[in-house]
Amino acid sequence: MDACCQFLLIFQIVVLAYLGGNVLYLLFFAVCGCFKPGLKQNTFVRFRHITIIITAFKEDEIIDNVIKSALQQDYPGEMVQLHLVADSFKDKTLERLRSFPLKLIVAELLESTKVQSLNLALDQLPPETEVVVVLDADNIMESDFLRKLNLRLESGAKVIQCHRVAKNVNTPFALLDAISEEVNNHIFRQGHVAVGLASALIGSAMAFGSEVFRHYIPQLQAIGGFDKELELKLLSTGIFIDYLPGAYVLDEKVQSSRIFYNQRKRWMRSQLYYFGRDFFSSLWALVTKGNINYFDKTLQFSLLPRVLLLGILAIVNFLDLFIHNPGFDRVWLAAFSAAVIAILISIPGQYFRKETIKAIMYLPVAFFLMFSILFRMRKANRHFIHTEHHIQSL
Amino acid sequence: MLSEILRITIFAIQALLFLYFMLTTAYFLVFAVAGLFPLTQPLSANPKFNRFAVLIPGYKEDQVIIDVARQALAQDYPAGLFDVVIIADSFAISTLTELKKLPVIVMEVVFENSSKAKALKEAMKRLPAVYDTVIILDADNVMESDFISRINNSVNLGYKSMQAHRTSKNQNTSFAVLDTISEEINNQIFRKGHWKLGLSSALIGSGMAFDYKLFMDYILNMDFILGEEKELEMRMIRDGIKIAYLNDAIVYDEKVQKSNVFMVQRARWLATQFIFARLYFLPGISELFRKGNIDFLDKVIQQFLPPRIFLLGFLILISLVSAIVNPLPFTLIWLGLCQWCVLALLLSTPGRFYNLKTLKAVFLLPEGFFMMLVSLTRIFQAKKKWDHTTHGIKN
Repeated sequence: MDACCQFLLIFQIVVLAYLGGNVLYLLFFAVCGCFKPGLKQNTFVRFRHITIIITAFKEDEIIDNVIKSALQQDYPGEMVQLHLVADSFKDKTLERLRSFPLKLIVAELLESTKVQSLNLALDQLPPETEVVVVLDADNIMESDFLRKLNLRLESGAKVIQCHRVAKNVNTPFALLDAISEEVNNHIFRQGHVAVGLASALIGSAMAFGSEVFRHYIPQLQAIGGFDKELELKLLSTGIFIDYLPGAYVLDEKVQSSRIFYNQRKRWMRSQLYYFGRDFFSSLWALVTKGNINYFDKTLQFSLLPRVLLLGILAIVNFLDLFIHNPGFDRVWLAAFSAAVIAILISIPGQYFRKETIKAIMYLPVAFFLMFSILFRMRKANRHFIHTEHHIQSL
Repeated sequence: MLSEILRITIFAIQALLFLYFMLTTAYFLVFAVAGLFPLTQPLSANPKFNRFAVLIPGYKEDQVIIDVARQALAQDYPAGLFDVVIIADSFAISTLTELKKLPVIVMEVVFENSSKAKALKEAMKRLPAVYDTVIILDADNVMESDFISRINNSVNLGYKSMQAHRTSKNQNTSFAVLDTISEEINNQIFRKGHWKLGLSSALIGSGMAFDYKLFMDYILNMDFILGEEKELEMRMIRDGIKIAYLNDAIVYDEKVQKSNVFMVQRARWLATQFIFARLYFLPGISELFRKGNIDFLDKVIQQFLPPRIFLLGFLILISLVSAIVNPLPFTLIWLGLCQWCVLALLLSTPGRFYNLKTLKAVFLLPEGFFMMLVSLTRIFQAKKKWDHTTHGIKN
């Protein structure tokens, strides 16, 4: 009996240390993200040649919007080229796309990964290109996107993650997803660059100097979660990832719980995989070369998704009501409160509205979906599960 | 009996004063709170590049103009679509040769009594009519690199008269800090807060942009005796033209650094206010009823507002005097008003000024108050002539 108690105590301490570490990490960067940078921007020197690469897999329905947004930029038109890698598109769509001023790269890929599509585009990259922007088929750039990006590049940045936000939040689940993305933007992007650390990538709305793009893209092998592999490659070789919150890309959010489930499963698997692969080498790089960004990145991969963290802490606090757990109950309550505060200060003001309250009702659903993923993590990083996009009748 | 009359008179005066100060504080507070809300301009869906002329009038600004001209060219806007026009009044020959090496238009002008309005008028006469929009800067103004792009967006949204966000770049003296904060307070109350509530923004005199034809109409048909921005603003608003405020289009200016420059400038502003208050009070009310021009009424009301430093200074002085002569409840009421006034000013001060440097500058407030009092005596001289505000530290 005593040994059992002893075991439970140690178990509790271990779990508390892990979850508490999660909470402290989130809270620290959430607070850092609240400090706004000063007024001064970069001074303009020149317009750069920009090539926009859109990778699309069976996106016949929605592809026109992203093309239009690329053609309606307040950036000199002669400096912008548009490359569309159209994988497994219908012939009718391809016919229509040929009338747009863009370079159409038609593909029928076997595995249809983004890395393959990017490599196809890379082969045809014009020599004068200085900057490559990577977009998804469901992304829409705001009209000042390229201009703002170009101005930020005057700082010498080689890789910039821009601000991706949700386009349609017409279901509670989509709203929840949109808020979760903004929370991640605040903590893993805004909060990180505020203290001089590298931002996280998202997988689209990213800009690369052409040398970096030409050098790193061919090295990638990922089937799912290519942005994580790329992050690790960049950061382990000391290339900084900047974040540009003012340049917006509107993105279509997943809408049903099934799509949500598959997407998160993909994310969590690749996260766990890369954590296992890179943790010790990043620790080594931290000690020997002082590469803090690489280590910070693998540390991030060890974090629980926000929904799981909140849910587990809530359950533990609930159980504490019935169990005599002296000393610990207060610590658990503090951890839960700190997590809630970290999330709340990361949510942009515009989301504090009535619909959000309705969306919060769906948090338990999201939690159980994510929780069930935890038990199906065994299958390795071998399948690429494609996120389908559905267009709403406009 | 006599003392009774005296007491009633004092009471009546006090009540009137209180009413006036209460209304002005309420006015400031309403717009200060409105200005706290974020203000971002929507993006026009299909951007079009308009053609801009950036007019920079300068009078004997040899020290700064070359640098300013060079910096004015660093805009992330297609180079062929904007021209920087330096209107050079009484520049040294060497400055002019240096300027002509840059890809800017140098327009030399000579006047008997130099003024900014005359310089702008002359420039508009000489420039070819190829532009869509004119931007007006001072010779010490430096635009952020995205300034023209942001103005262009507003032009695409249909605005014809715009005021950008002017703030200061050098705050090396406590006085400059105070001046910058005062300008930001005015930005929040008279520009951001107003625009947020759907009212026209006030103009500042630089960092303004106007539709080319509109500006031509106004500048050629007006004689500017007082500050050109004040007259322009009054006329435009009376004619029902909305003045938009662009919070994100930022232009930096050099703050006045010497107290005598400060006093001359404030005297001119105060003089304008007095004249306009007298001139437009009745038209303001009649326009409201005839055309529903609430912007004009608001502008007329603004002419009756005391400078912020007066409001604060007088409220504190009155509270002090009241503590000595008044019964306690009266003093408490005055102190309460004092608090609301301080709150309005604190709410209007941007977060970046909450630092030690500002705390040091706050101790100069009494001096600023005193100088403004002295300015009051000077306003009649100021009316007579256009005072040239010298920039920078000369000699």
